[in-house]
Amino acid sequence: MRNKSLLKEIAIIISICASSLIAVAQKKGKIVVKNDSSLTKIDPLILNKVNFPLNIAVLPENTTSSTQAVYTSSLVKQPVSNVLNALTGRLAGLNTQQITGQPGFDGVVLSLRGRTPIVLIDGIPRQLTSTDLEGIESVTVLKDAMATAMLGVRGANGAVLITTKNGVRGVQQISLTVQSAFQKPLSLLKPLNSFDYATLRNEAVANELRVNPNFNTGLRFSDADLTAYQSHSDPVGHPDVNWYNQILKSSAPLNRYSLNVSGGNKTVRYFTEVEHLYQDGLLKTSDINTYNTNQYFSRYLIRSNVDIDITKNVSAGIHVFGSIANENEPGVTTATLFNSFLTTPNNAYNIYNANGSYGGNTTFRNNLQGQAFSSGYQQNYSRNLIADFYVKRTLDEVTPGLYVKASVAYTSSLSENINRSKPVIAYQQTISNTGDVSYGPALTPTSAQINTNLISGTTGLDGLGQFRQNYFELSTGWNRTFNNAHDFNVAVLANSDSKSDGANLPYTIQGISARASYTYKKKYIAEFAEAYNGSNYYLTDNHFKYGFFPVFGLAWNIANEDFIQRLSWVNTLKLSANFGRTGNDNPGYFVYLQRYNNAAAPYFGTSNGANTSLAEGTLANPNITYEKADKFNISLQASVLNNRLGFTVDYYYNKFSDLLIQRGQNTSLIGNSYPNENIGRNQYSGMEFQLSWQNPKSGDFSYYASFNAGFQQSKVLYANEVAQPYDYMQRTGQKVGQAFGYVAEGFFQDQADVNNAKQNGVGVVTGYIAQPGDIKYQDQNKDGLINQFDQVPIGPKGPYITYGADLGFKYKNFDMSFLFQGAANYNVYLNGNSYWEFQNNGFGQAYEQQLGRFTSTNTAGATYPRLSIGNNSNNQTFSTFWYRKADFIRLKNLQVAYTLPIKYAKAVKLSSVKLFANGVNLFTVTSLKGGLDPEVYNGLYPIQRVFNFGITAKL
Amino acid sequence: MKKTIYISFLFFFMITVMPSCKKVENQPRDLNTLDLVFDSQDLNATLAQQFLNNIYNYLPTGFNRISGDFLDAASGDAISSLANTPISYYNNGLVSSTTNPDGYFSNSYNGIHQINIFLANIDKVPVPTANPTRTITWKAEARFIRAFLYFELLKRYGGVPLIGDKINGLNDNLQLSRNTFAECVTYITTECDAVKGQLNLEPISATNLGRIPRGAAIALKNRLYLYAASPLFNGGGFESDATLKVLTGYPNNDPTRWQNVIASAEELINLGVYSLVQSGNAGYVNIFSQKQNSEVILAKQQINDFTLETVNAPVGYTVNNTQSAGRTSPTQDFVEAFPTISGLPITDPLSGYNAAAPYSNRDPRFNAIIFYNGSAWLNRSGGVQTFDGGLDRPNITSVNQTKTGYYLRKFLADNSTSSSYSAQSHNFVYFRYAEILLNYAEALNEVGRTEDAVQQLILIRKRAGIQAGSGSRYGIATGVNQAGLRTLMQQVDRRIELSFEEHRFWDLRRWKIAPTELNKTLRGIQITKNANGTYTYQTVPVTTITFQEKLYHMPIPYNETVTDANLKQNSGW
Repeated sequence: MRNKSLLKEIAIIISICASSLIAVAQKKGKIVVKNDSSLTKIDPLILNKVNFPLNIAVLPENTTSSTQAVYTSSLVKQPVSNVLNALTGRLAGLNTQQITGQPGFDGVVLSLRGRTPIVLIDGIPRQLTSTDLEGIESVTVLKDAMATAMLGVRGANGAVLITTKNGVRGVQQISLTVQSAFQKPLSLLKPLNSFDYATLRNEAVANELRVNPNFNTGLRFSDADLTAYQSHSDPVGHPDVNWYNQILKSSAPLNRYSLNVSGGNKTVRYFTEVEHLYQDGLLKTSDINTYNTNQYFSRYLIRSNVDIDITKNVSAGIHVFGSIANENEPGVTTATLFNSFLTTPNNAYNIYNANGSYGGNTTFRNNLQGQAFSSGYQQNYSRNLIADFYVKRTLDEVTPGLYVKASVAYTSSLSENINRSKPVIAYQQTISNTGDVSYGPALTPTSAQINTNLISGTTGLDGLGQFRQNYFELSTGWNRTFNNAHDFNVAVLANSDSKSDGANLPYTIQGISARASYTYKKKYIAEFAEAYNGSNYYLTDNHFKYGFFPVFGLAWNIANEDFIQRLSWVNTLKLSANFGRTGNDNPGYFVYLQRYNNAAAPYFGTSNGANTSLAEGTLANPNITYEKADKFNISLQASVLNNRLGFTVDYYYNKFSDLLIQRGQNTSLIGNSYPNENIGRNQYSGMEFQLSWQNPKSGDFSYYASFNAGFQQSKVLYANEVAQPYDYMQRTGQKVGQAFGYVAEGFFQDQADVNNAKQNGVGVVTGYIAQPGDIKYQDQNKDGLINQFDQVPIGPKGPYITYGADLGFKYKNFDMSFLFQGAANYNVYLNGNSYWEFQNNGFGQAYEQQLGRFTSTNTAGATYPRLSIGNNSNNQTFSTFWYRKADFIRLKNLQVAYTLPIKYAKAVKLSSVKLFANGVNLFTVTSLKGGLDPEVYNGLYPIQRVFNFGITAKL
Repeated sequence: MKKTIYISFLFFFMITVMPSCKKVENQPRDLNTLDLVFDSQDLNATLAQQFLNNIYNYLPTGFNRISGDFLDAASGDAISSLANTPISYYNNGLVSSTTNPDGYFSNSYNGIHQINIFLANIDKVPVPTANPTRTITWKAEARFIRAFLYFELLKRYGGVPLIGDKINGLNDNLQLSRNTFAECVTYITTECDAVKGQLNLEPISATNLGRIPRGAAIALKNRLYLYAASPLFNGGGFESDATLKVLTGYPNNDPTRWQNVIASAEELINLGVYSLVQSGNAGYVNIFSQKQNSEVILAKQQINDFTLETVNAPVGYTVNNTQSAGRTSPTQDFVEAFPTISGLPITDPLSGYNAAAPYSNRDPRFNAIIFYNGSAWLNRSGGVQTFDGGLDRPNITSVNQTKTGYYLRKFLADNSTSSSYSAQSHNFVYFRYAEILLNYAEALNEVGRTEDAVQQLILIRKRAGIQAGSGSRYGIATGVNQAGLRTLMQQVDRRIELSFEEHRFWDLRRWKIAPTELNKTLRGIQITKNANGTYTYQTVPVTTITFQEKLYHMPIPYNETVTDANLKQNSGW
């Protein structure tokens, strides 16, 4: 049953991808199909080695794990500042979500098989993902239990492993890339012009008056006002300012310069790089300032990976990464500015008074233009350093294939917030009856510019604040093949990873991990990996709580069987499965200790002194332990037809237990907050697919196509839920994070419809007086009331689907690629002052979607309920009306590149020159109406559409 | 051999180096633990006293506490100046077990939990010989607050589970049932009686102001007895289900319950330490703006500021760049309840009321409670302008203004002639002597001692500045009967004197007159300024409010009834 629906979804996805492809093809003109001798390599098919966490790399023929990776050539196609943003759409099952487009803070949020994966850089858990792309060799997604087994107590959520480039032995290569882009906002909200705003607000007031006579007639605009708004004859008294146009530029530049040098000889190999990125923001600036008030992000970084063979048996490496990043925004902060767009209607005030001062009035005191130009500035300044060292000694003299290795890794971050903001002074301009112009008193008290520099906890650009990490590892391994049949791979390591964040005591995870695999004749693989590790925030004798996390795997390399080897068209065919337990350590900060915290200070005495107070904090949980996940993964991987067609199918079933949640049966009678306890159980399951096709090298033309899709389902197995009076209210058994709300049944068409509500099985929120144009809700329990008993699971029923398609071709020196990315069964909640009208007690913004409102003349065709002022307790309740389907497909990336014929490059003494142009977020098809972007739809800093041009020269 | 050496070296290295042998702080010592809070070595009991301080945080708050509105904005005396704010839910039927603007459930139980921790541990702290009663007084303070928190629950919900001295933890069975109304009354009054002799004795020193005094325990008991004797709770419950009725009130009517009110009121009066603040209008203002005075028994101590002014003063006043929000609009109905200075109702032809100058010659408290057109404020010439188009009722699109033509002035410092606000005391009064007198008067009247009751009302009217009039009756008719005096107290004396102190909302319920008082069209005033400078006053309807029987008792929060299956929901919810 489930599989059937899955198949159906797959069919839909494929058809969507196909049709989009055709659409693009038609747009770009006819594609000439010719044979090509050179081929653009499909990165996912480059099967060299599999990177595991903790710097364990194994050959794919020796593991039962199924991983997938993207490589430099794909990553560099987008000019993004965060490496995670380059993963969108490229890895099956890895979902990225961009919350904001604000430069410096625009990193995506990852989710993998329903959980948030841990990020590893060069094998070690750390979060510095704001980095260059050229220095990244690959990003591997580790999804199954085997892949993260050695992480033990932090392997349960999967991992994304970023591996940086090392030098290779050979001639020195120097590569310089210069790129320049301009960014345009993908979608902005569409506020109403002043005339529409005033007209609609009058209508909303009239609606309120119907229920509540004498509501507040003062909120009405007069006919004279309306005329003035329409004619724009009185810009001071009746302004009409589109604040987005007023404050934002239409585009902003982004520049990136990257120079790297790599090479090596017999004993030393190196890869070094310097990079500079400058990403400008969309805010206009003014010459009145000697400083920049625009949002911008600027970063310099260096990377130097050096590996040395000291003797025949001893090798060592020093890998250093450093970055300095600076982010700037206006004094009020960019987030505040974008929030002001939502609270400031177009007719709020004139921008400048006649005397040049900022306009405003008692309701709108903060002039937006002033906030952008005259509120000073704030800067985030962060410095990050990573230094990794290792020494490796091969011990072939003991037994061939044995080695021992010691590594130390040190990470340090410091992020400062420099605040140089100042108040914006606005004045209300009034014209008296006699025509005298006066400027009211300042609407904001003047004060000196703030001058602070804060370094605090987990703030700052990378969310790190003050952060230190010390990592030690000692490992030994043994890889040996006997008689060309018995292949042994063994690795044992002990590590300790200690992090300090601000003033907290270090959080240390330490333990011993091991991995062993045995491969017989490259056909049968048996694999075992384990970790025995834990962290130090627990109530045990030595404060460490360790867990044992074993994972077992078996694989059958069918392609190496004799009967398959005879079939020349089968290149690889491998069936693998693994099962095991991993953990997720989430101990909080010594929550086993019952602590007594400072509380609000009460006052005593006539002198009105505040008195320090103490209260018992959240109840302690002495039994807290790590969360556990039992994960099963089975994978079939094949490539056939001379490696032209490749596909991989993964099925997984993960059962999480001991999840830390607050118990559902939490009564206030206990008199305190319940702690999180290890009681939750969730299940995640799904499938992931990859399918690729590439033509063989022949002639001038080559092409490739690769598709991936992930289907993710989840289920709450246990949450200590309260006894629900109706089955449909049960949270247990539903998806993890299932939304519950009312089912909207359109609008009341007329008074008769209102009167018949009860007999039609619909209604309004209990106590609310309905009028035509209000949203009616289904009365689920048929008790004639709409209340908590009528809230049912709403939103998508099927699995959450993410998918991507990477298509490209090459013709002679010209190549082109497309990346499509999308999600299905995806909903967003449109709410608040970025979507509803006249919030903030009636003074908020209103938008174009309100033009489709219900009125006495627009009934059946209405797309929006009747207008209201401020909060509407019925219409603005969480329901299917606001929880909208937002499935989408994006042309995430398109790149066109031209490599200069070698003879021209040689003429300028270069080995190769490549010119390229690429675009990001070029177009989006979404089921979300009204021109809203499916990722940033709530008025935050928009995602950008980027047009980028660049050149790479190699010496 | 060589192999063995290498391998043993390897293992030695792994075993010794990895579990790093450094001595480290393995548990934060910067956190306060129970031993530290109730330190058996600390004679000063520094942290224990801080723990007690926090218990005071659980005392109720007042003023604009319901999302910016007064609770009294749901009592017919006023409405919110903003549309659709939560306080309106009490008057338009939007209250439900999931939406209750004044849900109070968890605050009380959180307080009770902290109090029980204090009571269980404070004896570990040594008692200084110089102050041998310190622990006793502290425990009495905590126990009083616990009783007060139960009273706050009782008046809202009826009987609730009594926790006693138990400190509940994660492993305790919390499927508790509600105790009956009678059990809760007994518990609270017993606690009050137990602690009253141990609490701080009046006079309270200036530094200890705000610490629970002896009088508070008697005042709480007095108020509880008053509620318990009132029609709603004294056998008058509307529930048809007997098991519910016994939870929300006494199942039977017993008129002798009024005797408890009389006795407890006399107990407090006879302490002889509390008295009405005298000297007319200024006296009435001073009750609320003087931190320490003879009338206030217990108040929530708050920081000196002018937030209250900014929130409630008329919208035409902008002070320190902040426009006053004029959040509360008292109704014409309330304004008409004020007698004239003669103490007679404005409908009485002898009262001296002049419809053309409706605000002159009124009960002096009118000036202290209401901002009306012409009220002196911040030295503005002509005073407050609530006529149509006036500064405080500008009728423009960008200002939320009064809906009734009035703003609330009570509790604000007297800024009639100042040019700006200054930080002033704004303690929210829980118990004051005038309330005890009114409780006393009500009980006296109910047991038939109507004339004795009149004498109490006269004390308050006199203090208010009402003229004595013929026979020194202060406007109260000679020979007024029980029913007449009851109405007078309900509609005039108690309503005005205790207005906006969170009494009327509950009084209307316990008197069971909410169905008439809260089912009506509330009125406002529309004032037109004539060309010659005079004003025309016209009474206009403002909003229609409704009351449902179930609103006699608040709904137990839905979350609580589902997590504790034994917690019975009140009738109608």
